[in-house]
Amino acid sequence: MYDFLEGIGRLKRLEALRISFILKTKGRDDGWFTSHLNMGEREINYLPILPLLFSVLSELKGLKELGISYFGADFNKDFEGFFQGLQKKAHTLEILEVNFANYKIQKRDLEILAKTLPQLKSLETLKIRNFVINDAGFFKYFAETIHRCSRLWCSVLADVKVGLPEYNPQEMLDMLKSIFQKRNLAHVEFRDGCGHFKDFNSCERLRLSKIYEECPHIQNLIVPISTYHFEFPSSWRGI
Amino acid sequence: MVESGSEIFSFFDRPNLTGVTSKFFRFLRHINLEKLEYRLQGKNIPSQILGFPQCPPSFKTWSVFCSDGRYLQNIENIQKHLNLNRLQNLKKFQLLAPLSLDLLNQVLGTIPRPEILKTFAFQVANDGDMKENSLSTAKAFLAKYQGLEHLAINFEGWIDLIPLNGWRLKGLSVEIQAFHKENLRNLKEFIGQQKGSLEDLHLRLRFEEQPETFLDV
Repeated sequence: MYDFLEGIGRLKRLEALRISFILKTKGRDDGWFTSHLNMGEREINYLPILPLLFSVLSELKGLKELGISYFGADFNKDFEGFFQGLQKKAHTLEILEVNFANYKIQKRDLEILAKTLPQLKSLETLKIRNFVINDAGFFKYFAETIHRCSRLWCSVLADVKVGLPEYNPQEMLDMLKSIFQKRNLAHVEFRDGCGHFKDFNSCERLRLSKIYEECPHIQNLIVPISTYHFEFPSSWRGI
Repeated sequence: MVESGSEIFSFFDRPNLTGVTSKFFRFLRHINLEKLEYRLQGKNIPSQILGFPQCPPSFKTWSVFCSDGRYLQNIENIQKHLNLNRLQNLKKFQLLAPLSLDLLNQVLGTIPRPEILKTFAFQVANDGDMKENSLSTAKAFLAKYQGLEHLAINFEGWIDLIPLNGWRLKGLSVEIQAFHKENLRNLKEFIGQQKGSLEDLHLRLRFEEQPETFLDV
């Protein structure tokens, strides 16, 4: 695996790199099923290749597009290192997609995001998925961070879970409103664990139509989100 | 999506193309289409789509994507209707449906000028007989595409299509449904051959073993 990744580091002309390693695991009843999103932590043995990936990325001087998704990614150890490593791509990286492998985002991680993302001066698209919100300040903090990403026009959060015992969905709405008011952000998505996504009409059910009126620059919006502890009102079902 | 110059026609990709009449397709034959892109959500690729290459040879792009190709039901329709031999200007061919290597080879055999193809995406189903003969067949047809710049392959299992010496790929997308650690070395060699040209690399590999078993490969 090390040789393999080092080989990628020798692709000097590389502008786009997307790596997805998915584990096939035995199902309870029959056959194989694939899982890279919601696999229980006990089933995963961490694959310590994130530091090597940082090293590989630093060799790829012209990288504009990066997507990383693999089972066993250990962001518990390497969250800060990963985003600090991305700073070396501050002037080239335009698209960033990261699957956090069910990582619980803490307050310190939010601070790291707030520090590093705005420094990616070329960043236009940000997609982060499969993480657990474990800090009550996430929504507000994330919205503020997004506002400071000057060239960002597409933001996608997918497979988001809220791991807070007390969660007020109004916080999410406030975040959405705040993000939408960023004038150049035309494409915002929040997807649920099943990959479901909806259109403008569903957002009206989220009582967000008023925000659309206020933000005519928005081209697309997808909003479902799931929580561990919070049940959405029945009127929100099917979002 | 069907494009002609600045005009774009879109239609919903319903399984039986309800609402898209034969008249519509006849109309499309009268304009200089350069691009056909069809995304299938159902289980059958409509024969209208497969038969559409019979229109004037202006197509530069022919793409059909099946969202869940495992359940594609009318593969024989491809054999019966798809004939690309009028597409003298075809630069981009994408067919993501789980074909056997033999059927794929048959379809590709109808491309009149494989040497001008720049982009090629295809899928090969695991037909349980991916042995030496199939491999030779695959190598033989890939060797025709000397000008290829972008290759996307989707295999049920890795097959050693290498060596592809002479290619200078700019884009490579590899999706393997059952990837084994023994394949890593081969894939590394494959990628390494393109290190002077590769600008876009997309790997989507499904493993069947626990992660740490790959570390010592």
